[in-house]
Amino acid sequence: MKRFFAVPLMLAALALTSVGAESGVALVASEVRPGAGVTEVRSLSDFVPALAGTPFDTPVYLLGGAKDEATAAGATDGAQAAGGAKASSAPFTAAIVAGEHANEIAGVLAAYWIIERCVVSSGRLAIVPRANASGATWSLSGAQAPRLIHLDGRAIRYGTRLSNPLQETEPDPERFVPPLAAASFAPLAGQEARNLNREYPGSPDGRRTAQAAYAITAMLRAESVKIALDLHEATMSSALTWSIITRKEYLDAAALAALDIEDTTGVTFHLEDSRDEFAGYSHWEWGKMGVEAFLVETPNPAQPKDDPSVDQLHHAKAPLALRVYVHLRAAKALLENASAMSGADDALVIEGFPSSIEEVGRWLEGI
Amino acid sequence: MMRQYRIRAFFFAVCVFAALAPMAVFAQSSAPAAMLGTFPQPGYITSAGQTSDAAIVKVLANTRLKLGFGYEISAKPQAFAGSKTLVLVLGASNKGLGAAGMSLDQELARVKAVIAQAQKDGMKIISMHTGGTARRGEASNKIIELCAPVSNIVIVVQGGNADGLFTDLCAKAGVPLVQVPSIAEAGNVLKSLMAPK
Repeated sequence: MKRFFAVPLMLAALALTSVGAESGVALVASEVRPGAGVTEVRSLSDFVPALAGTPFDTPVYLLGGAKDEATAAGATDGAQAAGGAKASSAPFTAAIVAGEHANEIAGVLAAYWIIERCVVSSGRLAIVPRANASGATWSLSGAQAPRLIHLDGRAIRYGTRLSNPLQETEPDPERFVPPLAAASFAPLAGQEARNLNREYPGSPDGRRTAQAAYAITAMLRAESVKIALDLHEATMSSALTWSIITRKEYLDAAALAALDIEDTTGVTFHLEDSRDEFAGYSHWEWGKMGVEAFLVETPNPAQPKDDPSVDQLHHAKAPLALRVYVHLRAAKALLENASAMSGADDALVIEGFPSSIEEVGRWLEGI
Repeated sequence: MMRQYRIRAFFFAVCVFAALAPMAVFAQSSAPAAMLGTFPQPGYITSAGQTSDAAIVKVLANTRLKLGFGYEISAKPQAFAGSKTLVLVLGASNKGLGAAGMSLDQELARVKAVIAQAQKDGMKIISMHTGGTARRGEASNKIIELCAPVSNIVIVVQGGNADGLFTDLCAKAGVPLVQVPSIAEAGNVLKSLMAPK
């Protein structure tokens, strides 16, 4: 009888070891093929060392001018030495974060496109394509076995909305309240403690998901990011599909982007206000830091249960190429309009966005 | 027998025509010719339902089409004094209402006051719905039922009228309905309605 239990226990221990062993950096490196536009690769553990080697550590790809080049130039002419003008001489920097929910793969793949194919000729772009790499190590349909979508000879993990519970440092609390929520905030289910997009601005000594949130927040600060995009997907029937969510002060940039997106993709977006009930969300918490933050939602036909029978690539209403293409055109439109409206025309120039759904389809399928 | 058949055929043809005529009138893709250039400037945009989509109509009208409309998402009646055309952007957003600290009833009261003031001032009213199915539902329908019948014309981006609510309301009230495939096209219709400054 004891032997009967010993084998499953050993297997469980092995599974725990294996899911805990792989660094998120290695996981992402196995999926993406960085192109010539990538000038530097960092990781979240540069900002929270405790994440090093864990499944929560994940790469930050940097494209464009080095942050230090401009500040060094400022120092040469004395501005830096005088303690002023550092911010104005630094390259205009934007960030794109995807994969906060590892099942929302169109955003992840859009980020991979940029890492592989885009070049930043003016300014600087930081990309975190798998913000919650732990979420990519498991799936609702297969416990510890992540689902894989095979694209162009590579296996892309279709994970889940939350961090892998076996990789967390603490069990879920009974109820969860985002760190900076108002006293009147209605507590969420305890598992939401593993939802990266409820944990901002994060905590350096909290559970792993909170540490990852803190590291992303620290990266935005360290890079002096002006505009940040957060790429997501929602259930087909959700009112959030084809939407941009942002704080009231950035609605005009989002509105202009929505018109551009419609022009280029034929998809009509609507806008949603960010506000204090979104405590812990990227668009609300990053916005508090003065970052122009926008969250983009496309529809995912497999959500909310991550139905493995759904053909992501060729779904009749929401094929993957369309969703990735729209994310990319939305990113282009938001970055261009937000930077122009903040008086920084041409401060950020990114080349290499796709011009058609077919182009994205060929990239996905390796045709 | 032949005569009876002809009468029946004639009667059938009249019925078909009577049934189709309103559709032709109320589901156009461009503004009726008689209305082109007849909406006086200046225009003023506000939401009906606190939808953030009003911001899209604002940048469409002002940044893209250079119409120079006034704008306030939750304008009070006194805000548009001197304006001649009121553009209502329809759609209830629970998030938007929450952000404005308003209940749906309070928003309905504000919109009623806005409409009453516009009618008192002899303003023309254009209702626009650009948010598709995301801006439909019980709360949005109350807003739409309030605004569409009192408008001079309604412009809806397809998807928002998938169930024919706008078609029904406009048909009953005798209000022309323009249904377009995109927000950009809705902007073109809006521009075509406005009189030169």
